[in-house]
Amino acid sequence: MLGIAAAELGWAYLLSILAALLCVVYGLIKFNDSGPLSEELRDFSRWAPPGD
Amino acid sequence: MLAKIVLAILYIGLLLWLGYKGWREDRQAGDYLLAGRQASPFLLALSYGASFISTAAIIGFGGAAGAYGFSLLWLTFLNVFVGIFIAFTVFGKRTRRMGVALDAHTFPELLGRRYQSRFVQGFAGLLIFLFLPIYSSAVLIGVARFLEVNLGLNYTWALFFFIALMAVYVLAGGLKSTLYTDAFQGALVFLMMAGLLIFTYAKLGGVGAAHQALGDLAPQVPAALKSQGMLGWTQGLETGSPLWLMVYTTLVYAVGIGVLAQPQLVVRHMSAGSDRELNRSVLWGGIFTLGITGVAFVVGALSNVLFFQQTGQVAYNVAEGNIDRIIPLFVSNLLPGWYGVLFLLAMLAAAVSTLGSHFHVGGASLGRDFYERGLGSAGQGEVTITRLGVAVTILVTLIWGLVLPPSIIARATAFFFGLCAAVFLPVYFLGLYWKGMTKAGAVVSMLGGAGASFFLTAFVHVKESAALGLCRSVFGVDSLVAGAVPGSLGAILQYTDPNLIAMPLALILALVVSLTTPRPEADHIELCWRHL
Repeated sequence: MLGIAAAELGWAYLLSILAALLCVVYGLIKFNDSGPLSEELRDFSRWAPPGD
Repeated sequence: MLAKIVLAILYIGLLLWLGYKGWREDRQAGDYLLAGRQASPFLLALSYGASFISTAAIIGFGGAAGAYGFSLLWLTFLNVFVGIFIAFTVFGKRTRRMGVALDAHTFPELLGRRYQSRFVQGFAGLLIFLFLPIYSSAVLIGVARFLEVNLGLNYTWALFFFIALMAVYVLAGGLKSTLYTDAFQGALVFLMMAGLLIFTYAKLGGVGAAHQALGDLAPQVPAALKSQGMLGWTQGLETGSPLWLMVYTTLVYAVGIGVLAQPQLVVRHMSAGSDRELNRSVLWGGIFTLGITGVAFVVGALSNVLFFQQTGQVAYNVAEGNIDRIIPLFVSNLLPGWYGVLFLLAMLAAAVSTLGSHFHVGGASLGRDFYERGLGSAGQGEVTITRLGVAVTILVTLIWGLVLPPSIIARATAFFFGLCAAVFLPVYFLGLYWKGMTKAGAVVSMLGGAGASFFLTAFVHVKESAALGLCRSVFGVDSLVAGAVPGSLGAILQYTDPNLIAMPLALILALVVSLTTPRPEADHIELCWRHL
């Protein structure tokens, strides 16, 4: 595969590219999906220092 | 030579200016530690990529690919799929939200507040502070080797020169300064690696022809590698052989999985202002990571063909067995001179961005997590203590850089990644997803993971146990399983990465202890989960 002697390593080559494509597709689909802003979520009124 | 030195000085000036810009904007501890949680998506993605993929990946693991071949491509796959896709989609979003809910500024602080435990925060901080410098020294060694080969500097002086530059740069600014420089540097490194790939494939007649030529070199595999299980650069490694175990359990597993619990990367998730930054980071990060590690590993392996055409020797022999020198020698001897200059700047860039985030995290781990929270001490002020911690981290990194042996970059990197996986990954993952995970479960899991990792490293995994000498001084042998029958469990264990065993053990401990101890208070769990 692609001139690579071991099929297993050919798959590693191809899967690396496919994984990057997956990242691109996911990033494009969710490009503007912001969820709540961290600034809006900040509310420390209920926070108490951790005990031990 | 003069052009290289002038360019390097100009570049250093630019870095210092960016550091100063960050220092002016770091007005309070929240800014210093998390860039005010307002990092832009592109900045965040490049910063994450640049601090994750660095000189160690290019020079250390690229050199490993030069020695061990395309087997390293499995690490590229894990770097992209696990290190980017899983890290951001499965861990990143929940980390950001829980981090905000608990007002956590560091990874140990996130764990400490999730489990309401000063011990968890202090222990995590101490462990990071003690062992992150080993990884940092791998990066430092990478750039020093490059300066040694490319500029002809003395290796030890190169270490001192670069660490001094880093000290000025990092102590001046906080995370915001490293975010600025990371983005610039990430872009520079990416462009240089793209050029490297195009040059190499073009020189060797295209993708298929280049791979074929590399496969044809199999009879030239050095005897030292052949005896360990190396079949060829595109033929792979003999299953179960010492080299197969080292490459797949230490280099591929430890780095590929350990990335999920890297403290300097978890901070990046907490820096995001919204999910949008994380989503876009998946896009940029996937391309960036493939472009850096994929190219480094492919070109590292293909360097054998070019070296063989020019010298009649494969890369391992040209580098005289020190695989950390393969990429610097390749760039210096086989690429055009002008490209070598730009590549030198790119390597300086990669090292600066990674070391910047390391020193920053190391400092925060000692100052904020261990000293302030773990010991419960009242300090002179967060930023001052953290900067003191940064200074100590820099010093320890230099010491490691001076004492570690050749061919160490990839292994030192894998050690820290694997340790993080064993100690932090179970409590981090379960802490984000399982309300039933208890403080006792977290404590036992972390102690068990760390204990198993250290025991196996010191007494079983022969590469480290022989170097440490502890096993020999106590039991009179280099490893407790030394002399095991080939193919037996003992023989496999002495070449299997300790953290491949320690991580599942820590996971089991976390589950069993949490199921048998009282659940956390409902109010606290509600607080942790309020934004999820």
